[in-house]
Amino acid sequence: MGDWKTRLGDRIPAELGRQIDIFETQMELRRQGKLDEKLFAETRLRRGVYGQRYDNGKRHDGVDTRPLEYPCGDLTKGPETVWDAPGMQRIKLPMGMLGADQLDALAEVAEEYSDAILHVTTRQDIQLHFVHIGDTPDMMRRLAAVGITTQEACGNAVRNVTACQYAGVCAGQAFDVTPYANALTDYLMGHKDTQDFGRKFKIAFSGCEPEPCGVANFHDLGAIAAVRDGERGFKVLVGGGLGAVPQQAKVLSEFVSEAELLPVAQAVCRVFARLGERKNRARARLKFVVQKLGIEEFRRVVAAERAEIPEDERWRAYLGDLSVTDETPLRPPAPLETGGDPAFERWRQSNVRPQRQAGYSVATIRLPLGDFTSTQARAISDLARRYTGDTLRLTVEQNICLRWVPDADLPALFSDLQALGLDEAGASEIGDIVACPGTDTCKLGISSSRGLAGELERHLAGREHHPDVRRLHIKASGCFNSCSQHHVADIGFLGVSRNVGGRRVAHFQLVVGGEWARNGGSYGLAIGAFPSKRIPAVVDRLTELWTAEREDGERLQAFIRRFGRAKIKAALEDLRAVPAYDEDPSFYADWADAREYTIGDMGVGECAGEVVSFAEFGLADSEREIFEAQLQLEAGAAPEAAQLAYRSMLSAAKALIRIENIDVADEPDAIVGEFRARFHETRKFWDPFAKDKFASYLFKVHADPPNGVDEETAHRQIEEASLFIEAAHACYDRLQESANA
Amino acid sequence: MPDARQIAVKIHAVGELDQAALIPIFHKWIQERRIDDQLLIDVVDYRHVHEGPGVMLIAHEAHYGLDSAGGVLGLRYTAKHDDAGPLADKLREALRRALVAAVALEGEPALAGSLSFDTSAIEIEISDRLSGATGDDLGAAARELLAPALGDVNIAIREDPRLAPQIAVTAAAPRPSAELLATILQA
Repeated sequence: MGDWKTRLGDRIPAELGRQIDIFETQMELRRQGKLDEKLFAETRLRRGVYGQRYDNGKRHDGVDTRPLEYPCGDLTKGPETVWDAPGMQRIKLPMGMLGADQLDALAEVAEEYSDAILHVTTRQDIQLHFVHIGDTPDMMRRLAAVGITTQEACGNAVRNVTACQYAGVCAGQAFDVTPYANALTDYLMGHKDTQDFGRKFKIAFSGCEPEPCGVANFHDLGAIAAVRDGERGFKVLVGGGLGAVPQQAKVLSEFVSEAELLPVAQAVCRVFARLGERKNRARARLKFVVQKLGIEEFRRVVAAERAEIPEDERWRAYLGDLSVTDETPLRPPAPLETGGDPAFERWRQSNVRPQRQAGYSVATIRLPLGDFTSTQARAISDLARRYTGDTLRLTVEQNICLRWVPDADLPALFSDLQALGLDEAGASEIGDIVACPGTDTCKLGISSSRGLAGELERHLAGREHHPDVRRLHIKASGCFNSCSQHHVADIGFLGVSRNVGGRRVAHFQLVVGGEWARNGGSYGLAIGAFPSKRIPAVVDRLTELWTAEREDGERLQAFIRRFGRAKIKAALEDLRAVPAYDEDPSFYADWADAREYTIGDMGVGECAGEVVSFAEFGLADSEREIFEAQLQLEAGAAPEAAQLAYRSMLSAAKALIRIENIDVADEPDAIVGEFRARFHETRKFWDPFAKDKFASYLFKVHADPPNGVDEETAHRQIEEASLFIEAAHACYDRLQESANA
Repeated sequence: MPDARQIAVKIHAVGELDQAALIPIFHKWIQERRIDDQLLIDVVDYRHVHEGPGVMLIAHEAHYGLDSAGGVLGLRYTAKHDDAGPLADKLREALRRALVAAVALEGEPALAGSLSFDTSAIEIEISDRLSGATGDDLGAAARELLAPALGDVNIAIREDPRLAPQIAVTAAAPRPSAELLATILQA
């Protein structure tokens, strides 16, 4: 039958081919047990070969946790990761740029190695699921033959460099950031200064400050195009990040000239490699380095590092031809001559954006949950060949854009999209929900973000919304790691679990107050946990409250600040109720999942009843205190807010301690000491993935109690306390189940 | 005749179905190890995708699902991770697997007979572009396998160089899935 390496021959670029051959050899060494599993895991991650849920060889089938007996036996592809278990392949597409031939190739590999579904991520990648590791070298070869690499898609590396999808065609841009993002991508890929990170590193480019498209504010390194005295450059931001505890990036420099972009980025990378944490993965991102040093010192360190870097001609060579990433429209510009039917007009209003180049527009294809079939992919390739040429871009909102569409062609394009079922209006509106993979495929998922998003999209479809409601952004993450970027949503959700009557129930924390505009301008805070099955009602109630009570033109974020979290929480309070299992068992399964909800195992019993009362009461106290902390922050009382956050953690810790020692004293030293001895050192308070990250939040703030903190610090401490309380809930659940086992 | 590695078979469905009903069914199949010589892993919901794979049952060896590609609902079985082998053998096995699943779904109490399959309309694809087998090869293998059971069959070959070889098999009249399965098993 032949093989792909032979068939593709020198269509595979030599260096990419060599890297793939090396990976294939490493796979064989691993199969023979001659390569350590941890080392192999990082190796494959740096090629985008990722794990998926259940790849530890176990799965709860609704009745019990059962082994998945793969043919490979004990062979692993990483710690607790079975060789044969299906995985996810992440495919980097710098700046989300895609050509028609590339999309065809992606369709092919999706069909042969995956489930024929291509998924667009919030970082402009494509992900394929249910891929066997044995298929990955050939997949990589087939993609390499069309100029796509999976190199450094995951792992402790520079991840996909993203850029706003309108770069080059946007009326508001300072200039086209595409060639700069492209140059930085090429420069840093495989660079010796980016191979020794303790954690991932994310870069984003934006053409302007006010719009959200580039979301530069929450990246390790963000670059916003700027022009000063006629010279091109960038406002460079560093140390941003979402994750469990979001951090706004700080300004490294208001203006870095285009000539200095690459060396400054390299200097930041070198500082990260040198000073970044390595042992404690929970504190290994660049944001912790910036936090620890303070931005002034960080600037000084980067400047000193920059001065040490040997000159590299690649820093400026690309500036000689910035047109290398320019797109050539396929067809001449032409105005839209006639109005269309209502469906076309609705689609045009939401999904079409005029370009700065007269007579052209960008048409966004709204992809449900970021998914499309291989058949649709080929059809989109054909549309590109017919209307625009190789001008496709993926977006961080999990859609795909066709740029350079002549306005006169929009009705015909719409008609073609209708035939493909890709004519859905409302791109980037309330019904276009961004969701991470969640419990569908992610090992870290706590609740079904995709199930929720699918349900919300159905719930919101076909309804007449107030125009301002239509423009809201909803994002749903399956856990606290914020892969859907829920912190910057108008209405965000993060998956959590709650124990109700001895059974676990999927919940989502409602996060409000985030700002998508201004490059992800600010972060929301959680307002309370709601059962997953009530989330559609939560969205309805919140939007109705806003439209009824807001002052003229008041945006949701401003409304929340003015109206107050306490009143919003009160207005939603009844939606937190979970009916008894006998009354409505549907609450005890997550969306689109027939199994009773679990985060690994479940148990129901009575012998811990008395203890449950103390613990539940204490945990409820802690939740009240954290909410009060938010109110204090809202009122501008940052120090008081930080104190309350600290107290809420003490309350949660004490709630757990009282399970074992009902007489624990109220003094913080006693609480922290007992917590450390009884729960931390015994690993009862331990997250399988975050390890002791959450316990460290309490220890850190106890060692250095809040005093005179600023708003940003208080915000962060509230976030950390919220996570500690969630971890306390999880710990309590495990203790209860053990007691009943 | 060239070897093939992965074959996909789609048997057209008859009747209306809200695919949400398949979610608990496929989870139950996993619990009960309904297909005992395949490792059933998970259920995936792609109902939101237009003419997509619908609700899928993921196994280590294959994917099952109620697929709506081309606007036609059908049970699709896609073999995965197969070793290369004679096309006729691969085809027989894929068809057998698809029919086993079809019979099982038709008999699912939760569906109350709302779903059945039209064995006179079957699509077959070599989902592996390395295979040297062509649409003609596939058609010949399909005719040899199915004609004894279905009578005269018409084979339409999909001609698109970008796509893996695919044929559409139609017959004058269907056989019940269980009967066709029995015939395949004896072949």
